[in-house]
Amino acid sequence: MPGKPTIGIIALQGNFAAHKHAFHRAGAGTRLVHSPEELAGLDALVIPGGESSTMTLLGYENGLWPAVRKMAQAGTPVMGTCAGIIMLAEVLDEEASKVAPLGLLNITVSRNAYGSQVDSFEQSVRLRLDSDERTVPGVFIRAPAITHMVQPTEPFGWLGDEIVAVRKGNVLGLTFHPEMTDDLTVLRHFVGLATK
Amino acid sequence: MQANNDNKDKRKKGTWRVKVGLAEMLKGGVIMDVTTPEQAAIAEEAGAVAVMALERVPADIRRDGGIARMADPDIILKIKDTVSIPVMAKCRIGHFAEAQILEALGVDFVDESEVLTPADQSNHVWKHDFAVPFVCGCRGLAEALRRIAEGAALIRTKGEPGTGDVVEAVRHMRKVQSEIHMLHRCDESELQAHAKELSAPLEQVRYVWKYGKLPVPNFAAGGIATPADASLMMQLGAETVFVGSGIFKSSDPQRRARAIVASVLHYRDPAKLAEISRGLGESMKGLDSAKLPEDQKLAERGW
Repeated sequence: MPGKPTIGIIALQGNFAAHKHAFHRAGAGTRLVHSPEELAGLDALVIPGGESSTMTLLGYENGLWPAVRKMAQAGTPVMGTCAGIIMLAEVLDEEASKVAPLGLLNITVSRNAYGSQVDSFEQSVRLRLDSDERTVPGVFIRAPAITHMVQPTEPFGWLGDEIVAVRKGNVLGLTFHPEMTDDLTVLRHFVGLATK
Repeated sequence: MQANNDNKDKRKKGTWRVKVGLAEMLKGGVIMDVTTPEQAAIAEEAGAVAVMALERVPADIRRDGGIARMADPDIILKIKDTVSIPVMAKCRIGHFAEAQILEALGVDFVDESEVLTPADQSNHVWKHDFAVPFVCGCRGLAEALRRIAEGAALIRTKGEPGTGDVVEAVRHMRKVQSEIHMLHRCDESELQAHAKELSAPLEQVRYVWKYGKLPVPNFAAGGIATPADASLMMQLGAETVFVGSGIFKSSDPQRRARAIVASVLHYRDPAKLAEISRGLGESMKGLDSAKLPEDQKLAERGW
């Protein structure tokens, strides 16, 4: 039986504490990561929700983002939620963006695609994980939308017909917040990837 | 698929979870007061997680006197058009019509704020009626829990806004934290008595007793002017800081804004803070909040 994996949670800014608590419930250990030095020995990485413009600024200044990209390219499982999927995207659907994404998923993302906070919402999401279909609660807060996706990136979550979760090998991106509900389906799946 | 899926699949807006959720997204950040689209751009460029759109910063409200009201919608909309980060705006305490207008403008958070002239001496806005989340100020746990019971999704200290004097924010944060610790340690049988003493609802008192924290995020505001002030408030338990007059009343707003953002990330690293604090130019001049006449103490507004 493999040991409990340690998941690094990027803690430049945002709801990293919610991820920490949710991953403890899902059976993983966690470490909050502020700088590249804190990445050593981690089994997986999570980029939480927050403001992607702030995260861009703070994480390039100390070299954290290039180090995260390197780890992802070397096969470490990485999951981004909300602002996190923005950081993982290839292209942003906006002019003069303050965000410099890592290009780890072949997607174009539009920030705050559903409008301002009064349009933030909860709605169920359909997931396909390990060829098993199920419905989980979705929390969308000033959420981004995936406006374009190409292979080898593939969808695994839908809000109606809209793609809201994608993966490319070891890299997962979700436009919603699985860490904010009691349903641990997505987090347990990710802990599984981190344990392999 | 279950039969009740129809209901489950409906899109629900303005829920408690999405309100508190946005507050959670703002953690570990700096929220800056801005009065023009240019200032908003500077704030975003410097790494602010949100801006507070105002007609006048608190220091100018103090200087000018008169009745301070909700900002002109024009200013709020121009600032909304300029930045991609959340935009907050202030309504007067109890002025639910101003709050309704702010919600209609699509602001991301309403600050029911003592910085503006109160509109109701008895009642705060009943915030559960709104889809937009609210932040409210407090001087201690009792006030915080009353505001949360009314529907506030985020709490901040009141501090003494527009002074550049952090002493009141420190007093309020320390009071909240020590009252939380006291409640967390007490016996369940004492909760009703504590609720009575605090004049706070039992349900909220019970949450603090059980989890040792507020049911919503807890930020600092009021008099924060330097990276050291920001670090102080974070070390005392704040999860994010609001900076009002402190940035755009200083001699070099760009650098100061950037430095305060960095100081929140590195708040426990004195060597880094020393580096961050160098060469920022002059801080806002400020006022000694102890020497303010009673009728100019904004923190006394609201209950």
